Amino acid sequence: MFTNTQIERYARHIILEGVGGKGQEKLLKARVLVIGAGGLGSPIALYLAASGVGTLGIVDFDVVDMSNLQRQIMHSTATVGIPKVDSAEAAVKAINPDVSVIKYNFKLSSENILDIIKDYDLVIDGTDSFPARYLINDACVLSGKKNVYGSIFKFEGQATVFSSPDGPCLRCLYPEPPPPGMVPSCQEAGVFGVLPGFIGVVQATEAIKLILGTGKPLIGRMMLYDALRMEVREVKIRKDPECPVCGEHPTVTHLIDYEEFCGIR
Amino acid sequence: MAITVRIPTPLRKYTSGKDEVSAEGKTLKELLQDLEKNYSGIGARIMDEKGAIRRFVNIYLNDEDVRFKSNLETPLKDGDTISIIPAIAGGAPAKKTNMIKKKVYLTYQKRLLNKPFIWEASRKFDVVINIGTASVSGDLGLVGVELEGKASEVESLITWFKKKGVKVEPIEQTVLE
Ligand SMILES: [Zn+2]
Repeated sequence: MFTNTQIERYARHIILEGVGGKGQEKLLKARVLVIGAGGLGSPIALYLAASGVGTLGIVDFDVVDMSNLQRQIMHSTATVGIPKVDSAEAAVKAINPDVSVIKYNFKLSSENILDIIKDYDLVIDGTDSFPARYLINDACVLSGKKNVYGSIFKFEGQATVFSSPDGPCLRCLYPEPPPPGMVPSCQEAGVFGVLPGFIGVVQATEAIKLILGTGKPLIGRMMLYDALRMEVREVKIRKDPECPVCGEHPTVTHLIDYEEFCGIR
Repeated sequence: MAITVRIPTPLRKYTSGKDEVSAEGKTLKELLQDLEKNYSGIGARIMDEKGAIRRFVNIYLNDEDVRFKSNLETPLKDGDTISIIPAIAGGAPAKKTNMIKKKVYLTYQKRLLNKPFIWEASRKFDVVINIGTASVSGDLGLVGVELEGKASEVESLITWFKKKGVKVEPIEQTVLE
C-alpha cells in the first residue's frame, strides 16, 4: 500500500493508464542494477529514481572528474573528486528518498559479477569499454537476466535489450570484441555531451517497460540514433544459433576478463 | 545500380567525413569492392585478410543483417540501403586514468589482525602507502597514511581494509592528472 506522500509523489503514474497503482507497486518492488555511473548511467539512475524504482544498485569504481560534468548530469561541480557511486547516491536520494541505493565502488570482474547481479531483476549496461560490455553480456546470459544495452560514440548511439529468452545477446551480433590494435585510446574520441542523455533515457524507458510488462520492448531490434542527422532508425537483430554464449553449442561457458581498451577507429 | 551506403562515425575518415555515400554492385561483395575503389582503406576495416566480414562489424541490407541472408553473396538492387554497423563501446569515454592521493586514518584492533596488514596491502595493491603518524595503545592502533595510485586501485584497497575490519576515515583527497 502507498503512503500519502507516495500517492502524491507518484500521482501522475497512478492516474496513467498503462501504469496505474499496480504498475507503481511493481516499480517500487523492482531491483535494477545500473552498471556505470557516467554519461549513460546519469539519466538512467535519475529517471529510475524519479519513477520510483525501489532498489537501485549502482556500480562504478571511478571518482568524479571535472571533465565528466559536460555530460554526466548526475554529478556536479561540488562532487568532483569523490567516488561516483557516492555522488550518484546523493543525486538519487535528493530526487527520491524512497529509493534504496546499493553502492558497488569497485571494478566488475569475472570473480564478482555473478554474485552481484543475482540479486537484481534487471541489468542496465551504461559502461564505456568492450571488456565490461562482454563481461556483462556473458554474465547476464549465464544468469538469465535481461540486459538493457546502450552505447555511444561521438554523435551516434545504439540501444537494445539483450539476453531475453527470445532475443539475441551482444555476442549474437558481435561474437568477439575488436582486437586492441583496432581501437584508438579513449582520449582521442570525445563525445557529444547531450548524446548519452538521449540513449540513457531510452535505456531507462525500456527498463521501466520491462518492469511494468507494458508496450513492445526493444528486443530483436536495435535502435540507431544519429544526433547530427537527428535520425532514429532500427535494424532487426536475431539470436544466432552459432552464438558462442547463448547459441546451441556455447563455447563461452565461463566469464572472461578481456584486456582494457576502448572505442573503435 | 545506385545503392546508398550508410557510413558509421568510426569509418568516416575514409569518406572525407561523409555519413552516406553511393556505391554500385550486384552483390554485397561487388559493392564493398566498389566502395574500396573509391574510398581506399575502408575495405580493410570491414573485411579481414581472407575477405570475410570482420566479427565486430555487421552489415545490414535495409534493416536485415546480411548474415541471415547470403552474406557477401547477398544480391542488391537499385534503391537499397546498406548500413555498416560496428560494435561501439562508449558510455563515458575520454576518461583519464585518475591518479589520486588520499589521506586516511586507519583505526584497528590489533587482535583482529593476524598479519601486518599494511605490509600485506602494499603487496596486494598497486598503491603507494606512505605512513605518517602512527600510535598504538593497548589493543587499539591508529595510523595516518597517504594512499597514492589509480583512483580505482585506491578504492579497492580501502574496500579491502574495511573487509579486514579496519576503520577508514578520510582526511583529504587530491585528484592528480
Ligand atoms: Zn548470443
